[in-house]
Parts: sequence; structure tokens; C-alpha cells
Amino acid sequence: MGLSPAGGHDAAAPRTAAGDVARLLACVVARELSDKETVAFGLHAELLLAAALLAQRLHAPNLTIRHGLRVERGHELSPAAWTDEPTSRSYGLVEYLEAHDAILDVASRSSPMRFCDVFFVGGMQIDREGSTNLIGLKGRDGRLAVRGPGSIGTTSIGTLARHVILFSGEHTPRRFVERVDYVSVPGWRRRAAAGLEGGPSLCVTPLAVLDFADGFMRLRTVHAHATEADVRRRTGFTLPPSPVVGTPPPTAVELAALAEIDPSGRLDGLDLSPDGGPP
Amino acid sequence: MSALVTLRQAAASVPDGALVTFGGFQLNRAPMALVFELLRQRRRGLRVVTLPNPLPLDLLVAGGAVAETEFGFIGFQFEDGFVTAPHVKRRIEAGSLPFKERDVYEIVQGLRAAALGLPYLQAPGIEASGYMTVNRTRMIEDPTTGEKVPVAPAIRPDVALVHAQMADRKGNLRIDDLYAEDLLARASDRVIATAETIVDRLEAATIPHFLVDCVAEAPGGAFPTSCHRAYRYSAPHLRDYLAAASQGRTDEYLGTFVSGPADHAAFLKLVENPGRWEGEPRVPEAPGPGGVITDDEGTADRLVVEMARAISDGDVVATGVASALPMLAIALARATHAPRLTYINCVGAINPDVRAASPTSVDPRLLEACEGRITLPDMFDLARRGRIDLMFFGAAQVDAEARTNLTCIGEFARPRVKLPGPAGASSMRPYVPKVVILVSRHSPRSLPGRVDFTTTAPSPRNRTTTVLTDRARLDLLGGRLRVTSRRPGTAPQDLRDRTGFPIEDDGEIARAPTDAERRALERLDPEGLRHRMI
Repeated sequence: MGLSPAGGHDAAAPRTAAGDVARLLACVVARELSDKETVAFGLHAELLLAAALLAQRLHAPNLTIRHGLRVERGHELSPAAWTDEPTSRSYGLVEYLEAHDAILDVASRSSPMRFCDVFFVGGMQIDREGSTNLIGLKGRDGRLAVRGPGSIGTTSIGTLARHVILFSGEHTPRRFVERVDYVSVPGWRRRAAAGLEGGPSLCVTPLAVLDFADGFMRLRTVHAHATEADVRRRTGFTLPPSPVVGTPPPTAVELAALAEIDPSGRLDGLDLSPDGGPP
Repeated sequence: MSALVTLRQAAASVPDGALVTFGGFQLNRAPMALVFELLRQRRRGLRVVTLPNPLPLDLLVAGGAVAETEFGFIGFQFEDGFVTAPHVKRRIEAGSLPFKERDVYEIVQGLRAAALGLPYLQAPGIEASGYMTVNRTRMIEDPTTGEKVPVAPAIRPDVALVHAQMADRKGNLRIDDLYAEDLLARASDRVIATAETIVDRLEAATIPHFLVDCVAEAPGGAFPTSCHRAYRYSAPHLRDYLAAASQGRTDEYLGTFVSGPADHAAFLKLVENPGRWEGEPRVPEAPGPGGVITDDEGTADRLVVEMARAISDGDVVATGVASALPMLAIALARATHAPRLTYINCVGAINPDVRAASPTSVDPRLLEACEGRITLPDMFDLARRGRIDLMFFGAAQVDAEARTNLTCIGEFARPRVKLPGPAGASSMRPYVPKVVILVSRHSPRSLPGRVDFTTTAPSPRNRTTTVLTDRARLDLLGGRLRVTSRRPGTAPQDLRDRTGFPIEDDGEIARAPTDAERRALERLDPEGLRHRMI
């Protein structure tokens, strides 16, 4: 997914262009989180953890953070946050560790969603109606050619969570496709076909923030280091014309808080493409 | 965000008519401060669904707070012997308490369904029990085999009341003797908790804060039940309560301990100091009035020895509720011929170090010195997977075909005598290869031709089914119970007179306890507690 941490060293890394994009995205994501909500994302999503910790510091002190099966109570990014080893060091950051089957808590429309309010999900492919694919890619013969990591729990949680936000570490035509080869989390049209209302609300990439109108993705804001033409060129389907503004840059307050959350510059070491990745 | 409230506020958030359930197990860690406070606030119309946790239900029934209830077991065992929740029993016998009784496994599956957000879960094992009829239990076809399986509909309580050893301001709970509170918390819409102590921040939560609505500090909040590592259950107070119930002085009890004191702290000042937690097995107290049973014939010794002999070395043996005597037998077997047995006690202790007889088998102190821990619901799964080789069951009646009755004498809906209920016996017995049933008095009443109610029934999966009485051993052979041995001094005709169904065999004379067995028994139970348990 292009978001793996670059090594476990603690020493402060030099500020990088990738780090600046990561901080911007952390701010964009943090602004979407509200107080008293529960946000959930997979393990190793360092940028999303930074965003959640940022929201907790600034405007959502009672945000509950589910990071994989962990309920976080750490206040900064540290290498220990990225291991599931039962060391005292990593467990000191964990308020509560769920058993795997607790995720099944999501399983019914008739029960209140207990697992989370906001769910972040990515994919090998994301299509114009917001469906994701973590299953695999088809070859020219229409058969499975590249096996992906699998949907994990994203199908059930992504279908039942009140608020689904798509997150992608790259913005490329291979990632943003007209139609996903396989469906992990259904988007707007596929949900409607199954009798479900709604769909993903937002999609955050290194170049832009997109939202949905009438069940199709459209541009909402473009980051300062990218252009609208660039985003359209790197999207594998047509984005409808819409008034596009610039993404509000990080404020001094946000950047100061991020510096405290990330004292060793882990965000600068993320494998994140400022230009969106290979065209 | 602080979840901290006062005990009064916590109880006040439970509305009249709510479907409530309780944490704790038997005489351990019941949320009694909340129960007493609900009675002080004159809550009415509560619907109670409960695991084997008799005291909260019985007190709420005594105080007129309960409209209807659903349970699997309403008995408990303590220093004075075995007790069935007196107010629930009386109201059911009077036909004035709407109730539903099911195997505890059905309730567990119902709670699991709710916790998973599913409409129902299967509850296999109860097919041959009388509960299928009285509860009109529905069946579903297993699509993989075509077999019909009983169904437990989801049970989603409005509120779970839980007492914890510790909580923090956010509402995280730490429970040192977890029975099924994690399941209750996930199944229920809300969790209302009390805790012995509140700290700023808990290091390792058992129940996470996002499942907990509010928590109140309530030292002594489980009294008169136990709070593991803080205090034991209060046998003297239970004795007072039961005496008031049996003498028609319930109103006096409620006046003195519920409406009298302003709050739980004031109530605790009225009663004697909750006994401090004792890490070591306790010296038994003198039995209360009515608790003395003379056993000059060595009946208990013989029963314990026969039970121990039913165990083979290497067996996995489990006990449920009210199993103080079987627990002693397991310790005896381990000390003599079966050192490699594995013992699973229903408090969740695997291979607890049982060194001495105890008035109760449901003692959380067993969790302190054991090799592993499970929770109550796990026991059902282990049994169904065939991982328990031998289980001891009690019975008020056993009939010629080895059906047992733990449910009622007379009609189910309006019984002459209400018995404590199946606990997990209906669902577990069919899956256990070696079934040992204990009937401490060999009489036509306890061994009738046909039980009044079929709580448990034999299954083809059982390899052996043995009934042990004070006079004889009977085994299920060819579908009928036959005497295989009798106690020395018991004439075959005497046995026939004492049995409510025809007996063909005389049986051999039982082997007397060996010197090694006698010595081990004396070491395990020097005070002779076993003589009071039969």
C-alpha cells in the first residue's frame, strides 16, 4: 500500500517532501474525526495513527482509537506502536487488546455498530463508485493474475460502519480504476443493489481529497503541491467537472502538535509519493 | 470523559421494566450494592435474565422488583449445605412468578448471538430434555447435514450490572475472576458498573471503557457475595437472609437492610465486617442450625471413594456448580491412583491445586493456584468438542432409564417443589463419555420408575453412565440401570425396597476404602467437612 514504515530507527530523520505530504494528509484526516467517536484502521497505518492522535490532541479528546486489535492510548508515534509483540514496551501504549472475534461485533444491521464509527480502508484498486479491491488483479484472460493480501475484515466492517473513508498512499491510474477487478468493500452502486443505503464518504490521496455525488467520486480539494490537471490525468476514470479549491494547508497549531506526536520524524520516513506515484 | 457517577445515579439509570442481567457467578462478585440500591429506589417490573447467580435475582424478587425471569440454575452451596433461592422457589411454587427455565448453555448461546449481532445461535445437546417441550424450543435444519438443531434466540439485555475489583475514571474495568462478564458486556446495550476502587488509569482492562456507560465506587459492593482478593462471601449474613426467608420474616430483613440504611455504606456498617480475603483455604466454620448431618456409617467416605474410583488416570474431569463432594473425590483420585488427571473447575480454573475439602466448589481462590484459566462459556464448548472425559452430575431423581430430574417435583409450570434447575447438565451430559450421577440417599423417591421431569437424558455418545448412592452403584446397561455393587451390610432385598423401579441383580459387595484412600481422605479433609455435604 506504499505506507510501510521505513525501518524502526528512532533517530530524527531530516524533513522530507514525503514527510510534508504525510503531515498534510494527517491534518486532512484529523479534521474528519469528531469527539467521542471511535475510529478504526488496520495495523501499520502509521499516518492514520498520527492523524487520530492529532485529532485527540486538538479537538477530539475523547476519540477512541482502534489500531488493528489494539485500543491505543499512546500519545506519540514510536517504533513500539508497530509491533504486536507482547513486550511491556508496546503494551504500555495499549489500553485494551481485543480478541479477534470481537470484530464480529459488527455483524448485524439490527445491532448498534459497536466496533467503530469511522473506518479507514484502502485497496489495490479503488473505483469510481468507491468499491475497493484487496483480493487480486485480473490478467488479460480475465482470470486472477496477481493475488492480493485478501480483504481481512474490511468487507464486514466497511459494509456496516456508519462512516467509511477511503485512504490511498498513491494516486495512480492503476489504483483508481473505472471498475475494480474484485470487490472487497462495496461502493455506492453495489451497496444499493444489495439493498444498503449510502457508501464511502471521502477518499484521501497524496494529491487530493475526493468525495461522492450521486454515488460517484468527484474532486473536492487539490493539495497545494499538485494541480487539478495532474489529478485528473492520474485518475483512471473521468471525474465530473466540479468547482475545485485548494486543500487548506496545515496550520501552525496542527504542525506544532504533529511535532510533539512525531518527535523522531517517523512521518518523514514514510514510503509516500509526493507526486502520487508512478503515472 | 469521566464515566464516574454515584451509586445512586448508577442505579437510577436503570428504568422500570428493563431487561437486566448480572455479572458474577454463584456466591461470587454479584453486583449487590446496585441490587440493594435498585430496591431502595423501589424499581418495579424488571425482567431478569441470569447466569447461575442466584442472590441478585432472589433479593429483587423478595423486594417485589421482578415481573418475570429467565434462568438456568437458582441454587448455591455454602457452609450450611445446598440452598435453592428461597423467594424465587416460593413464588414459582405459588404460581406467582412468570419464569422461563433453560439450560445455561442456551442462555450463553443467546447472549453470544446478541454479542455477535446475530438473530440466534444453535444450542445442540438439549434435544432429549423436557425443556424442548415446555419451552417449545424451535429447531433449525443444519444445511451441511440435514439434521435438526435446537435454536437459542439472541438475548440482548438492556443493562448488565457488573461489580469489578477496579475501574478507572474512563470506565475501564478490571476483573480478577472473570466468569462471563466480557460476554455480558458485549451482549447488553449498556453496562452499569460498580468497583471496589477507582483509579485514574487502569493498566490492563478486562472490560474496555467503550462498553461501559458508567461506574460508581462501591467498596464492599459485592457483599454479601465475595469479591475475589478483597473479601469472602459472608456465610453469617447469608444464614440471616435464609433464616428470614424460611421464617416468613422477609419484610423484616428488607426493612433492616434495604429501606433502613440510607445507602450501601450504611448497610455495610450494620452488618459484620465482610470477612477479609484469605489466600489460604479457610478453617471451616461451625455449621448453623440445621446444618449438622450425622454420618456415623461412613457414607460420605464411601461415596467420595466410589466417585474417585470412577476416574481413570489421565482423564479430563470437570465439575459444575454445587460440586464440593466431587471436588474432594477428584483431589482424592489425584492423590491416589490418578495423579495425571486434569481437573477443570467451573470458576474457570484448570488443574487448581485442591489441597483440602471446601464447603463450596465454586471458589475463585482456585484461580490463584492453577495451571490455566478459561471462562464459564468455554466449558460448554470443551464438553461439546469431547474434550471432557468425565463429569459429575447431581440429581434429585434418577429413573430406571437413567434420566435425571433437577427441575421440579409435580407440574413444570406450577411445581409442588421447585428444584434448582439444570445448570449446564442438559446440554453437557450428552457429550461426556463418562457420566457419573450422584444421589446421596437411596430411596424410592429419589429413584422412581419415571422422573417427574426429564432434565437430562442418556445419549449414544455416553460410553458409561454410573449412578452412585449411599447404598449402591448402578450402571446403565442395555438401556436400564442395574445394580453392579452394593455397600457391605446392605441386603439385596433392602436395596429392592429402597428402589422405585424393579431391580434384577444383587450386585457384588463393594470394595471397602483402602488404607491409602483412607489416609489421603483424612489428609484432605481432617475436619470431616464431607460428612456435612451429603
